[in-house]
Amino acid sequence: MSPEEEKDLVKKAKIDSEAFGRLYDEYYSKIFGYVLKRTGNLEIAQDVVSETFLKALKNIKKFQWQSFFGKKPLFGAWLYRIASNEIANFFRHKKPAISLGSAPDPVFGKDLFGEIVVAEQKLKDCQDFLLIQKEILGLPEKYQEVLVLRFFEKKQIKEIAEILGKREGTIKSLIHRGLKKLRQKMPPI
Amino acid sequence: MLDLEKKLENLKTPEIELLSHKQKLRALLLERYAQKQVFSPFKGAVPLGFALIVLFALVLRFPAFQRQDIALAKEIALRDADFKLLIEQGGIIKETQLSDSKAYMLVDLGESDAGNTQKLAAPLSVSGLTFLVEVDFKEKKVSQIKELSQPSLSFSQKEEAAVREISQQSERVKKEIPLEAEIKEIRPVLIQLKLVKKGNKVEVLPEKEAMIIYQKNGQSWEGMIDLKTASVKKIELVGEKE
Repeated sequence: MSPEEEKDLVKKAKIDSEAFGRLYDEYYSKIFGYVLKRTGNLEIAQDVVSETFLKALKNIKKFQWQSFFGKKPLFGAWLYRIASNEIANFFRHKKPAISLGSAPDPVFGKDLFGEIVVAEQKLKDCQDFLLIQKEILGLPEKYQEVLVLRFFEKKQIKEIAEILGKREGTIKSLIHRGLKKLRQKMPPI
Repeated sequence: MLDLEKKLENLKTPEIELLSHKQKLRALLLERYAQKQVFSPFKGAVPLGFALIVLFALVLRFPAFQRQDIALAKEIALRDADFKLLIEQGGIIKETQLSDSKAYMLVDLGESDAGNTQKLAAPLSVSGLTFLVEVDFKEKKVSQIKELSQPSLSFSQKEEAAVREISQQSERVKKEIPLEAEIKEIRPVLIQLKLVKKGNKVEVLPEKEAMIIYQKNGQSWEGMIDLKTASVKKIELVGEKE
């Protein structure tokens, strides 16, 4: 989706649920991936992603393409920012799980359970990732954000700056200091 | 530090998606969106005091606005001879939706009773089994009774892809159907007609599920997939096929 198409869709999403659904379809996987890489936990990731999109729905009408350091943030950057805030909130308050409705029917429950078992296995298969993710999780939040966005989400410096609402120079310096701190915690490679 | 940077850049990260969570959260968001639209005129932009004054004025000016609920819609509808006959012949009100100054009802007439609809004074066709009844609160009468024809169903590419993904992820499919079996056909099946509120309008939309046919070495299996819950509802061996 081009930025212009996305801009149109966001405009429509303020009054049309179908357009909001399309934005959700476009971004669910990206946001889920980011949150999972930040938390390393499937259950927490589900809760945080649910909260992120509920917040986005609540505030979609307020979303504006404001100029920010001369750049206009995209909708995706806004979602990543909400997700980052929700991750911080989660670890600060350890929120209870969000209910996605009444008790799931047995068939749904069975499929979700099966899916989680498969997903857990996939996660366990990424041992190196889990080891490093655990160390990153021990760093101050400001380093966690930049390191995950830069190395796990493969974002460019300017994209990270847009997501976190900071200058590019600040992001470079945070990455440098974050890597230094991580290096101190890690065994020699 | 370069070694660590290089290691992080080349690290294999998990690519995981939980389709069931995705579908269920989507449904919840759209439900919340609809609720938000219903209450939004009274939030934010319009000051609460002003909204209350307008509401109060409406209540005083139009007595019909004092009560516009499902019970009143039924009460008005039952005063209509055609509607009454429809109910007497076994018609069941499946669903009611309110919009502006109107109420909409879906009335299902069982197949055994369909033949009796010729008694109705209004020009209703005998072939249809579901009727849309429109009640006008202002006029306090049934403004329309319309027979609904069977909708033509199809799947968009996105829906078909979702059906394939649900099938691929389903533990039940993996357990009951050989891995090499191929999907030969995906067909939409009408489950029921639903009243859906879109802004100020109420539309009749079909609720559909997917019938999916798998084949391997001449053997066929038939499955039913519920897109709303992203689940496989049924799988059965339907025998040999040429």
